[in-house]
Amino acid sequence: MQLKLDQHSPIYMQIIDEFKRQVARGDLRPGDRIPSQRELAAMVQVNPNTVQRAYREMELMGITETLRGQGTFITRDPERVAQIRREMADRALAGFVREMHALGYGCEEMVAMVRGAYERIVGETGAGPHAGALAEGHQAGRGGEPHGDRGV
Amino acid sequence: MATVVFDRVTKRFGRVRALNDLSVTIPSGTILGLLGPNGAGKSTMLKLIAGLYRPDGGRVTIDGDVPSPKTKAKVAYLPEIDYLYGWMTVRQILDYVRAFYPDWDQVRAEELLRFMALDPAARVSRLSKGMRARLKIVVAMSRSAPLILLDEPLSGIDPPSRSRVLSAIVSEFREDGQTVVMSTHDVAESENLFQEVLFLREGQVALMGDADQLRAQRGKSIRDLFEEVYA
Amino acid sequence: MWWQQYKKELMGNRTELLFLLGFFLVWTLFLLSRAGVWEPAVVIALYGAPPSGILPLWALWASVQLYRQEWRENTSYLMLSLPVRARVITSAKLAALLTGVLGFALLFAVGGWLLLARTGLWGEVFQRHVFSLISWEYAVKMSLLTGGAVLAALVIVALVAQFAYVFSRLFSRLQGLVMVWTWVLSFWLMARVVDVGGRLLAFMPDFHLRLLTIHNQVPEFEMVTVESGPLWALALFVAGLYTLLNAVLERAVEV
Repeated sequence: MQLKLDQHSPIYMQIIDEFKRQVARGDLRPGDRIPSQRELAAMVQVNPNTVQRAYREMELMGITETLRGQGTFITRDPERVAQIRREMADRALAGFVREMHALGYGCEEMVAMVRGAYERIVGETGAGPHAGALAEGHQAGRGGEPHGDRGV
Repeated sequence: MATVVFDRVTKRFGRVRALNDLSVTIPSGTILGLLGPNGAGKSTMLKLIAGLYRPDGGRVTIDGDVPSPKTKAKVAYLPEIDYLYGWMTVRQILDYVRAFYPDWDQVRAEELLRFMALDPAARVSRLSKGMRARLKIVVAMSRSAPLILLDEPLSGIDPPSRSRVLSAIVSEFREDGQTVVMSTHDVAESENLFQEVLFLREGQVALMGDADQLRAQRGKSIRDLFEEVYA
Repeated sequence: MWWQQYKKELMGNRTELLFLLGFFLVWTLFLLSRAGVWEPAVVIALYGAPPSGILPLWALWASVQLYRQEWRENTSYLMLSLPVRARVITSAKLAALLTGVLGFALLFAVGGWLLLARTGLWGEVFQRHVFSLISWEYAVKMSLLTGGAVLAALVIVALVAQFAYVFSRLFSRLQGLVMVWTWVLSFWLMARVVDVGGRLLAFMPDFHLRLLTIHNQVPEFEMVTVESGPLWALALFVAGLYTLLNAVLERAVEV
């Protein structure tokens, strides 16, 4: 887990955000097992109590579910996953719109620029962060890979 | 669980007051970062808890008792300096220390030895600084001591050793029964470890609180807070 | 716990002990080789002089070193954080010192006997003259008594030296001076205690010894009375000093 902690905001919240990000992007799939609290704490060298707090919040938020004796898993509820994806998208959008607005761009301009930027960055073939060896690309990174213990 | 209380503690070295009428209660079951620049009094605080210094004024208590052989059995103290017998081998050090502590866990000691890549037959005086720091952690964390005091465990050692030391602290820490007090003047690497932080300035408490709460309140990292407190 | 501590005290000083042992062996072997060649009296004198001079001084120095090196090498941090009463540490250090002294005394006795045999003195003086007068039993008893007394004296001196050092550690300056003064005062106090205590404890039953004395060139035995009062007082003083050493180490001294 590449946890680049910025430390200017509560660590437990950043841990939750990182999990949300990975769920939204599909790096973590519904039903995937995530490391135990102790494992994660040791991996990223964060206080176990902080990790505990993050895990508790995620459980309350419905992002994860703990099965006794088996571990902690990402929620299997597709609605919730979709919701998380929307949440992260909203957050990215809000940041984008605020910044562009502050720079003086109007709505139509923003939309045109998004189209142009998408072409440049993601490209026609859909090559992007999830392309890997998949040349077809329209479901980048979502090909039929088995579920199970995905290392974080 | 071991609760440490400093009750109006003063400690002088000649004319200098390392600790000046300090009163603080260290909560149990947490990892507390004892922060401050060099000379702020962090080492002095830890040595007073370990019973290696005596206060000039006030009292230090661990679970209500002043430092004594009884409290020393509850404390694992890791000084900043080299304090192990240089003529002993790694194995001999562990055998020696283990004879004094009923809470020694030999299985854990062996695991930690392997994790730290320490050669049991190596003489302590021949170990590099990083290896000696690793050995100190093995000695401190092979026990199930309710109170672990680490005095600058990361300072002056190589990055791989620092990483291992941090990992060991995190993985061996038991939230339900241990208190870890770790002093450092370099917050950057270790701030993620601290649940609570205590800033010492000129022998008194400048600021104390829950790390995440402070981050939320001040919108700063503990490191930035450090700059602010000691500006 | 005590055993580990005792082992550590011996192991920690083994290079020094081995060095002394080596030196002693070389010297003894050398003298043995000269036994038939040089005057017996010279050989014995050369053998006896260095140890009798060096051993007490070494014992004195070693007794202080046992503590001094802990502070010099910062292992005092380890020593003082151990969850044990001070008496575990002090007794282990004294025992280690005694072990060294006893070991050396034994070697000295064996070496001495070998030399006496080689130079022929054993046969001449001892077997002919001394043993015709006294029984083996008596000789053994007297040697043990003398040896015991010497050892006791050594322990007392070592204890005073150790106390002087540890006590001086309570001071941040002029430690050397404090040490010297403590040393002097301790012996002065010891003399006072033995004097006064001897009188106060005069009621204690005395010891009687059969000593070999020479009157008008004729050796004969006579009973000598040794007052036990002063000895008891001395014992009490030593016990008190030892208790004080433990108290200072456990409660007052810092790293």
